[in-house]
Amino acid sequence: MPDNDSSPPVAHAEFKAVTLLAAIVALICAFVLYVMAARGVFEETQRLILLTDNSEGIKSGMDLTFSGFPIGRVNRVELAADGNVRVLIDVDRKDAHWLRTSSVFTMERSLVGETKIRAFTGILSDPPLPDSAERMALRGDASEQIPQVMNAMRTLLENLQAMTSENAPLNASMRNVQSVTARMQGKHGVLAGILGNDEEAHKLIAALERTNALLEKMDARVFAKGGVMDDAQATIKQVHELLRESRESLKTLDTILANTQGATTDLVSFRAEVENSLRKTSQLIEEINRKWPFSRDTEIKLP
Amino acid sequence: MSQNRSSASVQGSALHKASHRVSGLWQTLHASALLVAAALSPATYTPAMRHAVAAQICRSSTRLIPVFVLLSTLLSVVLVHIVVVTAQSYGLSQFALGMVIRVLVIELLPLSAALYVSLRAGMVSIPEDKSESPASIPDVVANFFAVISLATLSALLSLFFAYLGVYGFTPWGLSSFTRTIGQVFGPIAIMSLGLKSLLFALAVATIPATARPTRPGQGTARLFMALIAIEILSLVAEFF
Repeated sequence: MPDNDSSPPVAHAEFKAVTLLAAIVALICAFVLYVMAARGVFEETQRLILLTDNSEGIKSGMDLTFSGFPIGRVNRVELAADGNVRVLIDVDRKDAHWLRTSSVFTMERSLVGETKIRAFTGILSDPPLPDSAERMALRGDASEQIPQVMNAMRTLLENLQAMTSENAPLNASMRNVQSVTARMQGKHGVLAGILGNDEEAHKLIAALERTNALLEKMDARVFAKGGVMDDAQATIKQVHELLRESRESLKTLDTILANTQGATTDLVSFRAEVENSLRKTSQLIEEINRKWPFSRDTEIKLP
Repeated sequence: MSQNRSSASVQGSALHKASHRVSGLWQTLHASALLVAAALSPATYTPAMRHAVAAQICRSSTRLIPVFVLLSTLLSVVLVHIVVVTAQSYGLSQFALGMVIRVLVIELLPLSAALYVSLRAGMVSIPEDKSESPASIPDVVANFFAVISLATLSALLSLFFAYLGVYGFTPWGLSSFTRTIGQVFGPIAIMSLGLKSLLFALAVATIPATARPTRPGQGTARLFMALIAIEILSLVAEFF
């Protein structure tokens, strides 16, 4: 105690020291209890077992979240006899009602950050998930797709290399295009490119010239003055005139028919009059016959 | 011949130095163990000694705690603010709290407490009479207790300021904060923190007290080496 003698005495030193010690020990104990509570030591839990094929990124103490709220934590990760991974999760009893028999569990791993275990419950009216239930977890790993992307890239590059190699069909096609465009630069332009050589193009041009000449002749015969078209036009005019005349004849015929229809309405009364006259004439003849000395006795006398 | 003789003499002196260092380390360990045994034995605590220990604890606490708590609070506030703002700018604010707790509470503050106590104790307890040993039970116990109390108080205060820095003056972040505490303080982390603090306190309390009175700097050098070794060991245990 080299300096204790020179230091001023402390009043109630033992009491103060014990109080300080007790306070520090109490703080340490309170912190340890708080950490234990934070790790869920005092919570009543039920067990949920998730089965997956890869435990990468899953560690003890991770949260199981439902709608973003932690409702459980990973207790242990173990390898099952069939090679699958069993993730043993302790779910708080007070939050266990969010998990139903139809709940779906996912393990998502992004490029940055740790793996997230999530629960989704679509139908909250389903029966609650029983204790120690085993469920398959759906995995979604962004980094797992990197090898697939790399494979696709490699295949793409190989294809590109195959396409651009010396004997590749695309290269041959490009050479053909080059030869066609080279022919197009010749005397007959695109025609030589399409038809293959200048000779064929020359034939086609000759055929076109003949066709042009033929068309000129046809023009002279058909459309010139006194040509086929003029005759046709005159004929059409005549037909038109004929039609006009026919229309007028038909009108006259209509009038005649109307008159005839009027005449036929008077025939009935005329007929009645004729019949009446004939009846009177018949009666007159019968009268004359009775009064005439050569009248025949028409009565039959019975014996 | 003369060259061979000189190289042999150099090798001999190197071996002598190495053996001297090993024996020095052994002596330090031995003396530290004796001091711990003496501090733990009830027979040591006569009424006079008990009073002296209590008085020394009170003196060291009143001398060390206010300043260190103030400094650690300032450090915590600044570090929490830097980490939270940086994490937010990168969109990683969910990792800010965990990082603050790991860096401050588990790594920085226990080491800072040990260094602070060792520096203040070294400044105060250099004896005027070089022939007398500086080893004294009240100093050992007071320094041990000072390291533990400073580490505890600063850790709790930094947790409090980390909560305020991340969530602000609201009670609604408490469940999320508790969850993060539960995730950060796994069994290995809390064991590492406890053992590290204990070893720091033992080193600070005993190693300077076992140094030769004629060479007080030797004890400080050995103490820093011991603190670095403990810190490296705890990091290895925690992360590998």
